[in-house]
This record gives sequence, structure tokens and C-alpha cells, in this order.
Amino acid sequence: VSARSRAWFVAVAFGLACTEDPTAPGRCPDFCPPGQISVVDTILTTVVERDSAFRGYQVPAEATILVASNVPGVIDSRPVIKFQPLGTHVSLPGDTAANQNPILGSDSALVTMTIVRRDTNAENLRLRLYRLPLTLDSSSTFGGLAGPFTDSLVREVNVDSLIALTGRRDSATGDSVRVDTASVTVIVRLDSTQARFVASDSGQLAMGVRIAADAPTSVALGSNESASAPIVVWFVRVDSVGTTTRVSRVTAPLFDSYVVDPPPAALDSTLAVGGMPSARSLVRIALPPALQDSIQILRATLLLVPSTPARGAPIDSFTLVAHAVAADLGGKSPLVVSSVLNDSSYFGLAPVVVGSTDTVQIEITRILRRWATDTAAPHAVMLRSGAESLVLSQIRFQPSRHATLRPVLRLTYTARFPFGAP
Amino acid sequence: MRHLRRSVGLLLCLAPFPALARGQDSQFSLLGPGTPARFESVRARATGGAFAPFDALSWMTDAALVDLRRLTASAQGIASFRQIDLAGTEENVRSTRFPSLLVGAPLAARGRVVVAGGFGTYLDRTYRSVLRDSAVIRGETEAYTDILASDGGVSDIRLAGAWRFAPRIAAGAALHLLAGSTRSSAQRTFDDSATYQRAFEVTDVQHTGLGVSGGAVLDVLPSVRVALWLRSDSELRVSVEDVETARYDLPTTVGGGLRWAPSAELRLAALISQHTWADAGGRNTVEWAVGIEGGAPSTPGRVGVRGASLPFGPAGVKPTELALAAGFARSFSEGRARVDVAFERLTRTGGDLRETVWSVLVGFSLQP
Repeated sequence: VSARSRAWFVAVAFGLACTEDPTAPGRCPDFCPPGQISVVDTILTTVVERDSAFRGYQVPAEATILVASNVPGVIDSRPVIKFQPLGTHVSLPGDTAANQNPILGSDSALVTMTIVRRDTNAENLRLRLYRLPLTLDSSSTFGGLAGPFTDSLVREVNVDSLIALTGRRDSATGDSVRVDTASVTVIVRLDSTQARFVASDSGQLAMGVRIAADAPTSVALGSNESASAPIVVWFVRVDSVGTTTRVSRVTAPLFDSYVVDPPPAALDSTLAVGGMPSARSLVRIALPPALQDSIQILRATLLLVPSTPARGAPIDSFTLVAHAVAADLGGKSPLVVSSVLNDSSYFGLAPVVVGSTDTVQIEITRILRRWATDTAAPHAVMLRSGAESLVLSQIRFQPSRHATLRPVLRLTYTARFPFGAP
Repeated sequence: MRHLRRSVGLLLCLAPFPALARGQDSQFSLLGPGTPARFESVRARATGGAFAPFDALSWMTDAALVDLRRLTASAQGIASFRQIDLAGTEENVRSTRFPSLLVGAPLAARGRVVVAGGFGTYLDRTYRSVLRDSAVIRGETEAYTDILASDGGVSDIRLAGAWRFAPRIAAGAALHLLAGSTRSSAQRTFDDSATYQRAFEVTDVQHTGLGVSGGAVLDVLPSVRVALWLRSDSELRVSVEDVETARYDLPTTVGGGLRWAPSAELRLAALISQHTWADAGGRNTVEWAVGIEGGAPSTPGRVGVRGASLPFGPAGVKPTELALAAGFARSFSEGRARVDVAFERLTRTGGDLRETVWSVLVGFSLQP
């Protein structure tokens, strides 16, 4: 074979290198390949089983916000804050030793709190500051603090009025506000009688907050666990070697929390979600083996019937999250954490409206599809509030032991395609 | 020997392609077991197939193998561009195939017995159909797109022999092993993909079957040759994951051809054949072809026309096809290598579907 012949061969062979585009429109039944994709929509009433509720995932003292609610007959929540002690002595520039200048007393103090969430429809929002006993701690209860919250009012500040003022500062009281797109920072000036410096208490201050407005409302204050922690700026008189000097000192919270009435009801057979301390419910789903092996899930919806209307402030409607668990360890089941932001193969979301008794439908399609490929994955989801520790709202659903209103799974799937059929 | 090594090397270049060995698909065959292939070399294809019964490199008549005077290897490639007009909706598809490979050589002295083996396409099942529709799911109308696809076909692995038992008569026979697989997939994508996830399945569909063929060529006059052939194929068994899903009765083919060579530089041929595709759920078909080959044996020119009815199609419609073909060949190295080139325009019509196919075929044969 000559060189030219080989060239012919190679050129033509490569010229015919595979190119493929067999895509063409079809039309059934005349010009349609054999077999059809069949879709089945069914409600599985008994696949949800062995469900139970657990509480205590978040407690108020560890929350990043302090919830203040005033919804008469529904919920009353009051933040409580104990600030760090100021001490009895302070250091001044030029001192040769630490804290050698005794504090003689306070002139005033500025209490700064940041409202990180509020209901702008509830006008005339007022913050009321109460002096609380220094015995305040995580065991304090709403009832135990009822007395100080009744007779120890220190100041009341109308936040909306302050916002409406020119310069957002009340020159008469010294109160002011700063407003940005995400929050409102309220600065309340207390005089020496309101912010008393008691040397025997090392200048420690404990305060409580109640709110009021023209309508039932709820706000969230930044807590010590957030970047918007409340602080107190003390303006004190100091004895500096026989001379009275005025200085300022800042103290941050030593402890903060909130007390709630009514307290969360004890867990029962219902599936509780939300509240504070927060509750979650573990729901196990036992798909029939035939469905696991032979179908492709197009859509899976978990239907939950509330046993009571969702409780909470109207503004505190929240998102219910059905989160896949990495291991089924009951109440301590770890949630699957994805490295991909908003990866819905690990969770489903559904809104829960306070006061509503509508059936909650939560899409868990991608969770079930992941189970089909990850056979080791536990077939269980944890129901939790998407605003866990951020709102006090709570909902309870009928459990699987309920005869008629138990959780059900609505499944839309395709059956196995009849490959090879004539 | 050196030439033999080269030719084998060239053919090995095509060895990776058997899995791709297919014919030319058609929308008309979507509902059948596949699109039947044409057992024709590029030379025969250039004459509309009319010379296939007399062409040793075609698969139509086993007896024609007696014309192989020495070790011969051949392969071919085909590039097709198909325009589909379905009730006014047009789409263009393209494909490239290597539909057959054959090696044959005379065994006995004076070339009276020739054996050959190779593979070719029996049925092509390559398609990717896009279907738009909607369904009511959970009380809402949901629009979706289905893509049903298949990639592959059924190959015909052939072992054949031919014997010239008289100066003017030769007979041949072959055993055909039908085997192949298709990579089949089904996909549904909903327009509302945020709510409904995509469904996708893919699997390999296996096909097996057997066939036998035989035929004879008779030189009734020095310039006239007659060919007769018969082929009977068994059932085609279709299976998925070793579970039989379908079984098709494959057709029996019977045909005859006539070649007239009034001079050394002019040859005319015609054929007619019938295939009992009704056994496989289709319709029995008849095909015919007429062709001319002329010019010097080393650089001939060819032209032909072919018509046929199609075995598969919509109910109540009898689709047909008509092909016009032309081509040429060129020999190299004192006839030891040859390149055949053919061009074909094929039109298939039936109901409101019309397919127009332009094909370019290139065949290589080596006689080291």
C-alpha cells in the first residue's frame, strides 16, 4: 500500500470521526418509542412510625437573643440581665498600682440595648426597665421575679417617640436611639437614683425588661451571646488622692436570659416543635422495600396535622424544618450538616403560622432521594423550628399513634421503566 | 506477508468500532425491534443495492464469496444527515457508523472454496426522542419533557462459506449469530423542577438470536448471472438484567437478482426481495433495486435506484422509501487496495412523517 493510499485511508477515517446527534421530536403513539414513564401519586398512611418529642436543645440563657413578648393571654416574656460588677475602686492614668482609687458614687449611667427584631405594626413600643435582685440566675422564674417586675420600675422609654424626635435624642431625659436597616439601638439614661452605685454590691446591677405597645407584640434584644449585647456605661465619681474625679466605665452582662409565662408545657405524646427551652420531634419513616428499590421519587411531602394551634406572638410565625439525621440516636440524633449552603437534600422547610390549625406540608423530596442512594442513611428526620431560640412560638402535631390524624407521607413517583418491552 | 501485516494492522484500527457497528436508524422503526440494516457493501450501495447479490463484500448472497480470489479484508464507514419532518416540525439529526467488517479468503486450490467472517449490522436502535406533554398531578397540571433514548443495536456476526462446484454454478451458506446491546434511558423533567425532581433511568438491553442463510449464483450466459438467496432468522430474545422482556420472530428473506455485463466496462444489475417482517409485528416488505456500473475496473462509476416498503410505522400507514445513489471507486497498488465512495439520498414517507437522509459512505478493501 503506497504512502498516498495510506494518506487516503487515514484522512477519510478521521473525516468520519464519530459525530452523533440523534435527538428528534417524538409523537405518541405513532412515533414514540416503546414504554411510557408512568407517574403514581399516593398517600402512605402508615410509613411514619416511632416518633417522639424531646426538649432542651436551646435554653434561654444560651440564646443569642432575648425575647420580650407581651401577648396577653398567650405569652409574656421578659428579658433579665445581670451585669458584671463595677468594683469599688478604679484605676486612673498615672496610677502606680491597680484599682487604688475608690468609687464615691455614680452620677448617671447609660443602658444600651439593641432591638434586633421588632413588629413595626405595633406602634408606641415602650421598654420598661426594672431593677431586679442580684440573686438573678438561670434558676430564676417568671413567678419568682413577679414582685420586682411589679414594684421596681426604673424607667419607661417610648422607642417610637425617640425615633420620631429630631436627632433621635430626647434632650430632657438624655435618652436616644440609633437606627439602621437591621436594628434599633436604644440608649437609656439613668440618674444616680435609678442607677445606684452600692459599694457593698461592688456596683453590680441587675435589670429586667418588659415591653408594651398599642397592640400585642414581641421584640428580640441582642444577648451577651451576640454582637449586640446590652451594656451599661457608668459615670462615677472617684476619689483620686483627695480630689474627686469623674470617670466612665463600661460593664457587660455577666448573665442574661428571659423568663416566660406560661412556661412550656410538659412533653406528651404529641410532636412538639419550638418553644423555649426548644423542643424537637424525631420522625422515623419506614418506606416499603418495594418502593425503595423500584421507584424514583419525584416529590415527597410530609403532612403534619397540628393538635393545637401554633402558639406565640403573631409576629413570631416561624419555619418548620425537617432535617435529616446523620444517626438515629433518639433525641441526641446529630443532624446532617452539608458543606453546600442551602443543600435541600438534607432538609425541608414549611411555614408555621401562629394561630393556624392548617395541616403543615413539608417537602422532603431530596431527603428521600438521598436515602435511595445512601442505603446507610437512617430513615428519620428531626422536626425543629427554623427560628429555634429566636422565637418562643411552639406547635404540636398529632403523633403516629393517632388513629386518623397521624403524620402521613404523600409520595409522587415513577415506577420502573419497562426497558426492553415490545 | 508484509502486505498482510499491513492490512491486518489497518483493520485492527477499526477494531474498537464493532460496538458502534450499526446501520441507519429511522423514526418509523421506533415501535419495532429496530431499523433493519442493509447487507450491502459501499460498492453495492452506490448502485442502490442492485449489485449486492453479486458482490463478495456484501452480505446478501453467500455464494458471491466465490469471487474472492485472494485474502481480502474490508470495512466501511457511513456518515448520515437525516432531516425529519413530523407534521411540519423539522429536526436534523446526524450519525456516523462503521456498519460492517469482513475478512475472507479462498481455502482450496484454484479458489473453489472460500470462507469469510465478520460482523455487520442487523438492527439499529439508536434514537433520542423528545416528547412534550402534561399531566394532572395533585390537582395541578404539570408540564414535562420526556427523553427516551437508545444507543446501540443488534449486530450480525457471520461465518460464511461458498463453493464453486461447477464452472457456472456456485453455492454458499452462512451461520449468523445475532447479538448486541443497547444503552437505553428514560428521563422525565418537569417544567416546575423546584417542586418535582427529575426522573432518570438507564440500563443495558441485551439482544440475542440466530440465523442461517444460503444461496446460489448461476452464470446462465457468459454475460448474465442470476443469484438466488434465502435467509431465515430465529427469534430475537430481548433481556434486561438476564430477565427476558420480549421475543420477536425474525423474518425470512427470499430474493433474486440478475446481472448483465454487455461489455467489460459496463454492468447492469437488478434485484427484488421479500422480508416477512410481519412475524416480528411489522409488515412484510418488498424491495427492489436497479443499478449500473461502468468504466475501467480500477476506477468505475456507479449509479442506482432502490425502492422498498418499510416494516414498521404507525397503524394504518404503509411507509415506503426511495433511494438514489451514485459513487465511484479507485484502486491502488495494482488492485491490492481499493477505496469505494458512495453518496445516497434516501426519502422515507408515511403518514405525516417524512425523512430525508443524505449519506456519505466510504469503504476500504485490502488484498495483501
